[in-house]
Amino acid sequence: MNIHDMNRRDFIKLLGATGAVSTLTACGLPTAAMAKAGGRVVVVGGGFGGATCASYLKRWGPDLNVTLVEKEAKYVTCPFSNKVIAGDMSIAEITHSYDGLKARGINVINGEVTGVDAAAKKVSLKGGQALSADALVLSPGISFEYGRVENDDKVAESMPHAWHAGPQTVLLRKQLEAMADGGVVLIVPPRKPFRCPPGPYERASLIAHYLKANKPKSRIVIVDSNPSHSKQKAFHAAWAHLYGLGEGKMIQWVSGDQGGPVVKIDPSTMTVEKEFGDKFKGDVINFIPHQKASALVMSAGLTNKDGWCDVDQGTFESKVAKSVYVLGDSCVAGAMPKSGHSANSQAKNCAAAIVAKMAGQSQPTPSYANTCYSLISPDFGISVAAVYQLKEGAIKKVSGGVTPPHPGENDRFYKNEAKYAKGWYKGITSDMFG
Amino acid sequence: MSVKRVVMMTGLSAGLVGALALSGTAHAGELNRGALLSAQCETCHGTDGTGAAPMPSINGMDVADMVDVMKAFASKEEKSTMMYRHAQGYSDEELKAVAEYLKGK
Ligand SMILES: Cc1cc2nc3c(=O)[nH]c(=O)nc-3n(C[C@H](O)[C@H](O)[C@H](O)COP(=O)(O)OP(=O)(O)OC[C@H]3O[C@@H](n4cnc5c(N)ncnc54)[C@H](O)[C@@H]3O)c2cc1C
Ligand code: HEC
Repeated sequence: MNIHDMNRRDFIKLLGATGAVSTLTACGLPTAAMAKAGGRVVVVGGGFGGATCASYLKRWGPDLNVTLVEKEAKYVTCPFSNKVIAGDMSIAEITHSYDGLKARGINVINGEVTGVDAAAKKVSLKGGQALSADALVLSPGISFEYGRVENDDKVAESMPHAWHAGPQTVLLRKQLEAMADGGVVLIVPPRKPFRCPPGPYERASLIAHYLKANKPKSRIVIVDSNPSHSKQKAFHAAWAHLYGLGEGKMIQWVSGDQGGPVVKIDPSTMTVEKEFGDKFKGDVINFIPHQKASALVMSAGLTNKDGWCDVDQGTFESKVAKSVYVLGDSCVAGAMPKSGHSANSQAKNCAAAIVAKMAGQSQPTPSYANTCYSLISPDFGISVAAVYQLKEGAIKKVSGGVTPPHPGENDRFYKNEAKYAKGWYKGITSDMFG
Repeated sequence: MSVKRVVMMTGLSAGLVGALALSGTAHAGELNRGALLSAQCETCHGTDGTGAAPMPSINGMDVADMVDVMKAFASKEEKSTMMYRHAQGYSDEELKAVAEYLKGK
């Protein structure tokens, strides 16, 4: 049968789905959605937010034209990069290709976006190419906010941040390997808010695991600018249990309340200085700069006075540009922390909103979740988890909590958390890239 | 023949495909409340809940069994390291929507 010969009855018979028939007869053809024929979505950034969003847009809107623009040829995950720093995994094991997304029919462009025209929903790429879209999704991650600590823009080589996974991760690993036994490692977390609130403390844990086995006279000092930190009780109990916690022990945490925030770093003397003059000397220093939304969304005029993007927390549409969506670390998402799991969860709500809008339907009620596993050692894990709902326009936590801090009494629990952390990694990366 | 294929044959738009999918017909591009809720589980349990070892698979389960085990996780009657914190976040109606969606995967 030729397409033109097929009448409406044949069409309905072929459908064989009464649900679909009643939709057609009750509502007629969705003319608003018809106007969007060939609807095109451009997603910028192929990380936790962007890769997930592209994948779910195609899954829920198979006939959408989805383009993903990513500046790197492959994606190296920050999650599990602390294991690479500790020598427990290779960088290859946390590196992912975009072949799976290409196979799903997503047009993946390896290129850097140099400009965003939010009003026109248009992006320009290095080399001159321009792409315009019916909806633009931006999930470009974070940028560093230099100038808040003296010399903070000059130390990427001497005091690697390793807060973008890749060459920085490998550099920090090499410095730890080269350090003599008895050396001091300083970890300097940024002020809140920053990507992955438990990240610096997981890093301290896994470096301690490496040092305990290989350089047991060495120490780690966390020179914090914050008065408290993520999963603090659970981390401290586990540190005391596995490594020793306090002055002269393997891990020492210096709170932001002790001597104030870090104000100066000096690569020539390898020192870190706090506001009230306390100085810390390190053999290896991991200085993590202050953070804000990616420079890309900043230059597009999408950020607020604090340097982050305000969005409708149900759809992730920017508060300042129609049909431009901002996800992940760059956006303000109520009670959700800046994590890969949060970005993945947000991306699914955003994809649902876009698909529904383009089909002229209403978006299913949003629903969100986050979990951050942290490894204290490769076989000892803790976590924080939450489920969220949209309430009065803001994402609010409705359940969740932190692993109970009773190390020693129930090691099996922590062993299982470490085991499931690996499952989490496998699950989320296959969900994004598979 | 899938809905999508028929629509393609008739030369209709992506918008209609979306509308059909949203009406709840079995379809690769199915989007409804159950799908969006289940997508929150899929982060850990793999796309369509097919598992990411050692994360168990949760697809194809009997609807009543799924709702029962989720409620048992929430009350801690069923021991878990992680699930109690997630299960406590969903209403009975939401759990049922999740169970119905994942049953078909
Ligand atoms: C050490 C560490 C450990 C972590 N561990 C965990 C964990 O265990 N669990 C967890 O949930 N989260 C973890 N995180 C946090 C997680 O990595 C981030 O929250 C997550 O990556 C945010 O996703 P995103 O999509 O916003 O940004 P990203 O994942 O950073 O993706 C942004 C992408 O955009 C691309 N991009 C940027 N600008 C451009 C441009 N102009 N043109 C083209 N492409 C561009 C980048 O190359 C990048 O690929 C960790 C972070 C760190 C640093
Ligand atoms: C953060 C990761 C995570 C998320 C998100 C998650 N789960 Fe789980 N799930 C687990 C883990 C870990 C287990 C093993 C039990 C435990 O220790 O918590 C599990 C076990 C289960 C089981 C028991 C399976 C079996 O064969 O034993 C079911 C059913 C289940 N989850 C359903 C769900 C549903 C439904 C959702 C979404 C509403 C969900 N899970 C979200 C991590 C997760």
